[in-house]
Amino acid sequence: MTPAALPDYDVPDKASFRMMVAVKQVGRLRDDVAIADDGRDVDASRLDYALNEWDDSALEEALRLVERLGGGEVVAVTVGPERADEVLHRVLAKGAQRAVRVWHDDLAGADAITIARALAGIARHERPDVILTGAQSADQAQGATGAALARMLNLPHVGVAVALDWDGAGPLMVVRELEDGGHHRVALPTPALASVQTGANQPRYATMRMIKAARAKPLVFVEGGAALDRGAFGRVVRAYLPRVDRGAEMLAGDADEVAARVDEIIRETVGDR
Amino acid sequence: MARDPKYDVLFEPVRLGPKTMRNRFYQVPHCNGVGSDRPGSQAAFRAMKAEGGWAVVCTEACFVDLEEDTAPCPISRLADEGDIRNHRHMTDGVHEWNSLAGVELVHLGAFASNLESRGVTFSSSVNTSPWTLTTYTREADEDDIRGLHRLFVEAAKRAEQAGFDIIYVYGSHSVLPMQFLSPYYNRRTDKYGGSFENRARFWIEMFHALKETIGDRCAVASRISVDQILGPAGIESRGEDILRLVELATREGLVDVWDINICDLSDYGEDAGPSRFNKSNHQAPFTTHITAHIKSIADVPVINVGRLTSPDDMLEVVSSGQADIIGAARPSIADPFLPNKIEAGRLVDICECIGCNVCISRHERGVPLVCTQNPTAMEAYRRGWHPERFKPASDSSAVLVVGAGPAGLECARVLGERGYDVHLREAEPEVGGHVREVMRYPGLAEWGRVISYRQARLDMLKNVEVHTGVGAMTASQILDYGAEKIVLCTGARWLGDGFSPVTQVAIPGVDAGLPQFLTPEQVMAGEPVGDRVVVLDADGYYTGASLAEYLADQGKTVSIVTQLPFVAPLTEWTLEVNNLHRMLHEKGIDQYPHHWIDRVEPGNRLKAALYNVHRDGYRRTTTPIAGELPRRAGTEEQVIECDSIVLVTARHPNDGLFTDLKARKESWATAGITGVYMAGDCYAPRQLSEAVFDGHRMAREIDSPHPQRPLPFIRERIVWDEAEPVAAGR
Repeated sequence: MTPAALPDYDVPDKASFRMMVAVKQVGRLRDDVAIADDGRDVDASRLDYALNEWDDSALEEALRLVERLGGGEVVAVTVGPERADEVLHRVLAKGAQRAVRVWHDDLAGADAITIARALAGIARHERPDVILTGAQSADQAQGATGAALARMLNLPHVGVAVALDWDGAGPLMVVRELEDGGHHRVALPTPALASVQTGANQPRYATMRMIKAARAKPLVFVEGGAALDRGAFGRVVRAYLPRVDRGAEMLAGDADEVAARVDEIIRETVGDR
Repeated sequence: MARDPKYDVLFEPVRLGPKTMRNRFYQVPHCNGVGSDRPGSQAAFRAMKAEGGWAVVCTEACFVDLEEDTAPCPISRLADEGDIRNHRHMTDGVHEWNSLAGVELVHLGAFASNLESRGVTFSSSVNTSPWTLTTYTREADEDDIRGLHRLFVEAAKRAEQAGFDIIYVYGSHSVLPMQFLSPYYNRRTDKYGGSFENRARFWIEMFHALKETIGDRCAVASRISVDQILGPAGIESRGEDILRLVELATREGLVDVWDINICDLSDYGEDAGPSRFNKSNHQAPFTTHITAHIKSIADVPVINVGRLTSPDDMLEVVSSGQADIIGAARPSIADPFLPNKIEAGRLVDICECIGCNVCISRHERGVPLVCTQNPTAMEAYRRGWHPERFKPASDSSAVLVVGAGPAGLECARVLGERGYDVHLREAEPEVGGHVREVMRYPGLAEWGRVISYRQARLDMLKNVEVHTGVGAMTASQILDYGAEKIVLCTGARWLGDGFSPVTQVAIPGVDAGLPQFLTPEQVMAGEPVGDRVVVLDADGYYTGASLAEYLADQGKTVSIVTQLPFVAPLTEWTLEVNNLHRMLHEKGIDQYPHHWIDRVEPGNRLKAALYNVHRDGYRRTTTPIAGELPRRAGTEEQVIECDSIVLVTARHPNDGLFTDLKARKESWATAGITGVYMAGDCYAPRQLSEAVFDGHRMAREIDSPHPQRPLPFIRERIVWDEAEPVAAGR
């Protein structure tokens, strides 16, 4: 599990701080879901695509960190086919300075570790001070890419971050969200990686001016075949729609009649208490 | 996308006598404020429904002679050759889409106003109605009755010539046949009065007459109210009379389709129930057993209505045996393409009726209907608007729409449909504008569909971005935004100083900055309201009464003061007024109609000086004197004490942003801005249906030379023709 040895590309010298944000273009299901012919994924023609909500929050954290530091660069990286450029344009419009897209056709449907290898390959070139990812993606929801990426780069890392702060010199201060509503405050020496929880912030919108200006910002393509040189670390065997066993029973009647029937059903299913 | 197989049953054909309808979606007869005298508008309106998949499309009630009218409300007529030609235009339009056309032939009897015809109408007895007052019917003798049947038969023949497939004997809503059947109207002692057989005779004879005239070529439809909602004083659905009538007509094979509803015409809000008081399928408890009774005799199809808007509700109605055919009026106005959308699997696109009854209110006032949810309703002919077709954007302008209330949501939606790049920006965390408050008034939750429908559509439009929670935009931010066209949809607010059209000045002592005074926005934002509340209502529509109910439900002691003759007179047109007043009475809300407030003494306990608006002298002074009222100025007043006053006195546009931008017009060109426009209440406050309409119109016409001014539309009117002066206007 090592970073992929990706080809060189034009990486500017680090003038100041550099944040790298891993973003993903996720597929959104519509009403008409179908499984693809190969039986291993959802039929892509029935998906809408969007920037992953968690990554939007990660980007917003990166932009705010750079704003509070008074300077610095945010580089957005994605592993995705050409349609993923749309998400990079959006991210550039919101304020990232540069964007990089890694792809090879054989990366389609790749597992989280392989994706992390590709991202790590870029991180090797970029040498960022902080890497932010979303805690998970809305479509696959593995929640693994950030942790894998940190491990490969030997970076300290935390997950489920809801607040970050860095003065540029000391440690990266992170507040993590715990399940019972508690919080965990952590200090990480940089370079470090944090995966960000949605709701950590309110991501900014890009105005039309920002969208137009983004067209002039650099968007680089990097050939990603090297991420496959260790083979796959997992593979989807089968994707299927859950079988519908029983239809729902429509409860008709006025409030009293419906309540009586609900009472009946509860007694039938759970038994009297 | 394809139709979900569970809805297959809704698309089965149904036989109606000699005709067959291609699916179970049936637009029942309903008024539209135009009728057959405006054939262009009528045909375009009705044909749209056929195009949208309604297998049967009917006219409104259609007079069979020249003597009756319902002026100022226009309906249809089949009295002569000109009428045939006008109706033919509609049936041609409907037939083009393989739908059937129905006409609802009527004798109105006691409900005819005859304000324009100046004729006399017949009824079972000498009757007038709460709608008509001063105009009474003549009790028809047997010759008159035979004459009425003859008129009907002649009209039926004209109906066939005009191309109609289904011809109604209209008997619901207490029109003439019900005026014979119901002892509420029928006080006769001859063979047309008294016993059931006698009272049913007129109706049965009408069926026979129609059957004999056109029965083998056209379907005979019976529209019948199975309950007058008058209790034992009238016809009851659980009573004997209606079951026997239905049985008699069915057994003799006189009816090809039963179109069933409830109510007496004097309160037809019990049929066309607003969502405030009646939920979807509200008539089922009255009608379901009637269907069963009919089916036990013969397999004659039955239509039910009840503001059915949801495909799943429609499915339940048919699957449960409640009815064979989904009858709809208002749901077909809100979405003429409802059937096609179910067929295409586009359920999310269905635009559901909200039951505001604004459509009915326009007809009741004698003008073409409008629809809050569907701004294209009745605009197909005069403006060329089609609900599913939009002219592509003529330029590549990017449009910024400021404010996602009803006007902004609709504007962004239509701009998006036209292919413009749109950013819709909303200050609040949620879209909806003032509708978010209105939908929380008691009973008005369905009005929230104005928001949810548009939110769902906008979500699907790739070229529209919706930004929420961005705070109020400033002129500088707008100039800097990068859009070429700006549409401001910043809405209106209720005034907090008591200003109203009653006196055109603020009320001394009134100040919504003080906690004792609240605007509707402040009430709905949860600001504290004292135990004794006065609602000051100069508006006359739903806001005052709704807030009164909202606060009474919280246990407050509430009074409404209004200068108007009674609370919420505008709800007379939406058919809400009777139940609204029953509600006010039942919830103990005191009312002071004909009153206003002269001033309020501040303090923890407010003292409001209440006066009767008619306290001035009734004799105008003969010689005017400058500085003096030209009549004796009345001074009587009474002081009422309360803890809080809610101000429903006047609305004012939030047009400050436009003023700011206009002041910086020299910067527009450098900012790349080609136009700044306003849509909705921020231009001028108006009813919700008009705010939605304005957003829609702005989007359709944003590439016209002067978008702020509506483009001319067709006025359907008679233009004098010198060459044929007799033909013109005939």
